[in-house]
Amino acid sequence: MTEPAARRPERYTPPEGVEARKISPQLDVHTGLPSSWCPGCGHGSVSQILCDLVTELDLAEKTILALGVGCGSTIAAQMEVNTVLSPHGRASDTATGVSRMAPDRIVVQYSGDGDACGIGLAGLMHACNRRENFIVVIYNNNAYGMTGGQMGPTTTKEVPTTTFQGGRDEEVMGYPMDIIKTLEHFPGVVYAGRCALTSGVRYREASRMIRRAFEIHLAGIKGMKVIDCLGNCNVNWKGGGVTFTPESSNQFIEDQIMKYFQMGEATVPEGYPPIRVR
Amino acid sequence: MSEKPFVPPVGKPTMGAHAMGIGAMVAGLDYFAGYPITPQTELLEYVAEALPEQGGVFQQLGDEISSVMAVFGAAACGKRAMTASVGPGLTLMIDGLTNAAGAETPMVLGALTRAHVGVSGGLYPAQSDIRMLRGLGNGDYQLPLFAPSTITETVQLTAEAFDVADLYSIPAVVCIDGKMANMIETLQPFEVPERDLPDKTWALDRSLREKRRVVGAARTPELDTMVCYEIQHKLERMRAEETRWDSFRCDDAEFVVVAYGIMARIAKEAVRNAREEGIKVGLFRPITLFPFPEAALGELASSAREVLTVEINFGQVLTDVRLAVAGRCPVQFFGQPALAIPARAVLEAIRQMAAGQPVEPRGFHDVHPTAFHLADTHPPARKQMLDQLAARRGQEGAQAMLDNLLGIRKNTVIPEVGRD
Repeated sequence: MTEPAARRPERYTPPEGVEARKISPQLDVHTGLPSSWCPGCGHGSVSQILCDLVTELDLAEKTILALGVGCGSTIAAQMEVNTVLSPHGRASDTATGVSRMAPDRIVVQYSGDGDACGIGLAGLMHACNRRENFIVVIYNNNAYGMTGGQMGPTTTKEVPTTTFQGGRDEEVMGYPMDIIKTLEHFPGVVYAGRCALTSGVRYREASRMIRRAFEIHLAGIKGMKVIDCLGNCNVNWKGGGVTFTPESSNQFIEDQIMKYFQMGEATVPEGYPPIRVR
Repeated sequence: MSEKPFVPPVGKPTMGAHAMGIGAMVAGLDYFAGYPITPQTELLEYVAEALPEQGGVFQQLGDEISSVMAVFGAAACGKRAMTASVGPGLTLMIDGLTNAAGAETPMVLGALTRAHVGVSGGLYPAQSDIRMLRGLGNGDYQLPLFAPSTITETVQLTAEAFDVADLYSIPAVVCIDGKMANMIETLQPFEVPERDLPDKTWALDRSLREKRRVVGAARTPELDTMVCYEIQHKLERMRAEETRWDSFRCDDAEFVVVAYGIMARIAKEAVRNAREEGIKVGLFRPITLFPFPEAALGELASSAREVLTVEINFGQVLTDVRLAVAGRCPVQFFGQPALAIPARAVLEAIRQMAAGQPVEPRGFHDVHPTAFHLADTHPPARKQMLDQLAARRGQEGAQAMLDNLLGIRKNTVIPEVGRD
């Protein structure tokens, strides 16, 4: 094996006078490396939530990231935990093998909507059906971001993409997939919910929801914990000459995309108070 | 794993498909994932029963892609993991194999091959997936490929494949054809040599405090290029250290038959019979199809008059044989796409080769001498078939149905060679 760790640049050191954010005396999983995500992209927010959470709960040694392919897989550079990289759409399957062979670890699959709901849907649904025991965090930006903004299975009618510039053509492409509605009734899914990363308030909701998934996992409740995070792809929502800024794209999610998707928790185990969302 | 050690059923009748599972259990299998497909189902059923008893995990997943990727995940944890499939399933598994090779993750794939292009109509045995198994995924890689020819050897090589996979951090493939998968033989005593295996320091379940572990291809362009060089380096090492072959009466052989797997057993009988007739012929059996025993065969070829490759396909190892022989003597091919070639046909081919003639190829009618299309050529058979159909469908309906059935075949050019 090659040594990926050896190539990693030095850990980020904050400027003088600023104290490094160290919540736990244990391992800090923030690598502090500059991210490769576009300005305003919600991947950075999810990454921050996950890194903060894993550090705060001192789960660095227990967490294993399972990544597919997409913009989201560059979270490997942001979060310093043991990581398995699988091909596009196979993160659920790989996470199955990892969680079965390392049952004392918390396996977190981080995927985009294309990775989880497009090419990887069968794997994800079967994992839910088999009641695998890992956490799935989906960053749902209604597009294939890494390849430049093509339409995906979750893309709503209003989102301009490079392959359907006037928005989703319902005649040819049908309707946006609601992955939480698809999965919430599987007996193997113990926690399912949707959050968004469009504002500070939404960020707090998202962070609570992801934390809740970890808490449920740590409480020993076996099953899938699936969280769908709506976020923007402000750079690549550009079909038909429409352009966005991070702010306008977040507003666009609130105004247009949320019409299609039910926000908040859909499946919660007994005894857990609901997390309120706007 | 459980405290009770696994005891292989030595001395008991053992099925080829089970043999793969037994070999894996001997090697200390931790995880098996698969999807049913004929003739791999017997292996699946065997492992489903035997593995949980030993404390391992058996899972039946949504498809072959899921299976191979779950096995990759288990292997990434440093565990001994295996999956197995057949033709169409193996095609899907290529996805995971190329990724595991790029991620330098050791795992074992059982390949039980059957005939035909695409999904098979008859589930006939054949050796038609050899070319695919040696690394047809994207990228430049090859996988160690074992081709046992007895049940005992299947157990032994499957167990050893885990060691080879660990030693070179690469997926290893054990390949038997459908006939061997369903064949039953008494399991003979066998030995798996002890090897000095490297510690899996890269495994995901190791502590983060020592070092961060990242398992997977596609890290950075530089690392991935480095992996390409590393894979080539590993292949070189394997060529030097893992090449295996077996030979039978090759010492004074003027003619050499090259065959592997089930075909090697059948060819052995043909060679024995030819020797009785006074033909100086020997059998060369590659045990590893990658790395191919190039030097050994080349040496034999330099003192031989001619080499005959016998395969249940249209020459997927023929290329390697030609490269090994390197023009030292002529190379002929004898094969058919499905079902094992009978020993008498191989004997006839050896006779033709010894007489200095070109070997007569096997035609469609040699493979399917009793196929329904015979009705096309044999009027009595056609009439009998029509009568049977007519009893159920009426005269016109029967004629239309038969024409329709035969029409499919009529559009195909069937080689006339070898027709009785």
